[in-house]
Amino acid sequence: MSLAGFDPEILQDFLTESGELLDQLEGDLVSLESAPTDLELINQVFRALHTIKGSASFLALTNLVELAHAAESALNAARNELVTIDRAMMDLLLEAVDVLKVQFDELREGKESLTAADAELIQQLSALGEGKAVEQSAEASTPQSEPSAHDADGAQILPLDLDSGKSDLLDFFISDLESTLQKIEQQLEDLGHQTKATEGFAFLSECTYELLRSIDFFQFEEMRSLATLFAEAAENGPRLDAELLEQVQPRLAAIASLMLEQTEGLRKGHRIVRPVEGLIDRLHGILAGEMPTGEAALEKGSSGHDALKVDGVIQPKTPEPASTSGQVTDTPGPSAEPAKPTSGGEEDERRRSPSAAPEQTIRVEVGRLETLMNLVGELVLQKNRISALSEDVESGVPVSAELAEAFEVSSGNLARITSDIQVAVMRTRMQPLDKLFGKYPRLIRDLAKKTGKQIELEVIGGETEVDKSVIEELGDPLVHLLRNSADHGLESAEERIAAGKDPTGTITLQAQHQGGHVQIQIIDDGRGLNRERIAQKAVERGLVSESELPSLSDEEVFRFIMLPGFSTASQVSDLSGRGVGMDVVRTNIEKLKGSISVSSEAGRGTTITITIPLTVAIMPAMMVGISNEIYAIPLGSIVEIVRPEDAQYGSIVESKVVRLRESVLPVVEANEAFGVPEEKRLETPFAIVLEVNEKRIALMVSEVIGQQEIVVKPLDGLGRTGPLSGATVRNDGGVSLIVDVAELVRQVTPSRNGVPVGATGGNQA
Amino acid sequence: MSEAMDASPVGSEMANGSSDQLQLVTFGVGDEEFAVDILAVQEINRMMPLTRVPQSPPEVEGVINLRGRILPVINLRRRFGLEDGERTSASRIIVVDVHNQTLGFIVDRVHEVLRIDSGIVDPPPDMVCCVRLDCIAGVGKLDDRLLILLDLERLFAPADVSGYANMNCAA
Repeated sequence: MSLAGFDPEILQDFLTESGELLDQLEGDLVSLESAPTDLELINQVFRALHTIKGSASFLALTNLVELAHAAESALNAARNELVTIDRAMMDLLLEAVDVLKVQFDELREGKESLTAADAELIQQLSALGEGKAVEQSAEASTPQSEPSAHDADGAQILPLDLDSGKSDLLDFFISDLESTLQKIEQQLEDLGHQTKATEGFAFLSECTYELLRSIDFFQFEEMRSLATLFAEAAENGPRLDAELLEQVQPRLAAIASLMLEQTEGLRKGHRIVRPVEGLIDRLHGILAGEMPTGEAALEKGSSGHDALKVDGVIQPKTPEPASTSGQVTDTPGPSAEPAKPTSGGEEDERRRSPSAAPEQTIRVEVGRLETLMNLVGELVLQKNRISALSEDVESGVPVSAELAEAFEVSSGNLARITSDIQVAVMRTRMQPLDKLFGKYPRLIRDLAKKTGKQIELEVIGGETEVDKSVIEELGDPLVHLLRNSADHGLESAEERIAAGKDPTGTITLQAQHQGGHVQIQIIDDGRGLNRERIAQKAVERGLVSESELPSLSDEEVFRFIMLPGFSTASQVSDLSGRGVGMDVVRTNIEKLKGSISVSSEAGRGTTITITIPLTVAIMPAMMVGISNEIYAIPLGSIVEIVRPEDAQYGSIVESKVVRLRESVLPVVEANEAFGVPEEKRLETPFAIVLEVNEKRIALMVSEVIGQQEIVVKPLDGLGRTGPLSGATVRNDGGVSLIVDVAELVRQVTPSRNGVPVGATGGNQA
Repeated sequence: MSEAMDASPVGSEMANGSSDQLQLVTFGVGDEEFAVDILAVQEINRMMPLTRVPQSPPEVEGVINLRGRILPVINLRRRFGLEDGERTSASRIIVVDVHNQTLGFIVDRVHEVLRIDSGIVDPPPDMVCCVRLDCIAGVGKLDDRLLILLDLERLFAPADVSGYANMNCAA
């Protein structure tokens, strides 16, 4: 297998598109587990897998196709109610999704040969596809023998008997058949609409002709009778009215699914005989213009499966107790292929390799692009207007009042259009948080399995849109926080019952817009944080003195868990140790110019709140003068700007400090921090009070110029720099550097030993 | 502000160069004359306001705003270990693409766009003036002068692009 011949763009498209489907698939599968009879959901999952398989086979990714195919056939069996979706089956399907993800990652890395899925996994999925439920027994699989028996719903399975010349060609036939049937299935959806029906039938007739020739060659009688029906429908279909079409369409879908089942059988070397006479007769009748009556009349929008039942092809099963893992009760001994037990959860965890590389492309709603296009059109008009005006000015005409006014109007329009364009462009980068949130039900499911707790995840506000970069940076922190909540926040069912709570713990993941920010909360109803333990640990680590403790608010105490290596967990589990890695969470959130806070109530639960600006590309900043250089400071980190009197300055252990009301802040001379040659020394410089994570410093600057919306540009190719996060272009065309406040504060307050600089200052903000 | 290739006496005839011909942009730094492949050069600009970047490597002069892009600008004199010279009206910023990073470097003057036969280019001698061997692609002998062909890839090696601390090229 080689991808050498393929356009990298095609591969990229495949990765983007199918990658999205795969993510969606995972979420849908987990929802499917709790609603196993939701046919629409099954179909959705099936379609996603089908699309992935189709595109992958185009790229000749054999290993990927094989697995997708096996998973698809298992789902198909579920769709046709041959098997019920239970936990064991879901484990298999999710395992398949994991392997697919690994394969996708390999593709992204440019590997040419993909890891093949375990033969066992494929076998188990295929067994499901044949209607055999996953068995939980640990019996090893017996040698495969030719089955000859009745399936659960009345199908008879016969061994396939072909001479060698034909069996060589069988593989070709099968793949051909599959692709044709897939095309037909897609086309069938259109047949319901009369407007497209004529075309659909023409297509059907074309496909069927090819199909029949191959079937004749192999002399598959069961298939021939089915395919002939296609041919007849194609011939007579265009003459039928809408009502009759409604009756025909599901039946054709039924035939297609029967043929797919046959194809599956062929692959495994057997033929499947089903009582199809009822269906054939009924369809003949309808094609001749006979409206079916009574029970035989299908309701509008019926599926192929309904048709199969109504026309007696499959026998309705007697409902079985939900507790049984499988539905196949009469699988005869010798022919059975007992499925092996599913692999344990640890393996799932290991398989889930580090999250995929950020995608290089983005999908944008056409509507948004159109808005942008229109705005650009306006922009061009405005530009023309201004060029015309400036020509007037150049021609030497004295600037009249009208001309001045015209200029003013134009520049006003220009300002409006540019800000509209700014918003429109930003919107093209916006993505719903569901892209992230969709992955978490699976995470929680696995965590629940692993910890043995009962956990329910509630997702609210997944439609909230944030910038693409936020999605990318937020993934890891959220996974971490969710794990913390599941592992440490929530108690076991017994503990919960003992505490008089619902045995099922709930984790709520909630997102909402708040002004220019997005707020994301992870709320669990678990045991809550233990203030005493955190405080004790903080004292042990010398972060705070025993005497200071009572004056700290709960919030301030909880904040300690964000510090690197701070963990109160007495035993470290492989999932998380509350506190370990919280530092990583904080760092990522800071990168997004966001903030994080913790609140908790013993016995009631913990809430972690993350607040992130809507976009990081454009932000409000305060422009300040440092001697004769101009810097931009993100407004979000500025608490206040004051001009302290001389008397307010002092020093603690040779460090200059300034006293502002109740608090004492370390002083940072901007001249020194940024190495600006000092040209003018103000008598009373401005103190910009900056705060990051409750640490405050006073940055002394010589001038405060004003507030501005700045466009953040990367500062690349310089190697090392000072505490700077980027650059921006001022309205005079010059470049101003943006101060990285978090880094600056970190440089100034290297440790928390001794005076907890700025940490215990009053909360005037 | 841009005056792309304004010093070119060759004009349009240089459009199709054969493989034996080299098209070079020549410029002066200090007393020496240097040349770089014209294909690497994006544009040549007059001096423009630079913004100093605190704590950046010494040869980084600062950043400029090139039509909305923020580009680092290297002082070639410092890169070569020469004394800082006077900025004159002849000083130029040559913008090049090296290792997928667009950057500018300051030269004292830009001479011309030159087409020379690759035959007159000799491999670099052991040491030419102040610039060490590995940044030199070759030496071109013209009638009355010597042209030092610079290897931009090495002059701004990736280690340098991401941190000029490692100055293996400067004397």
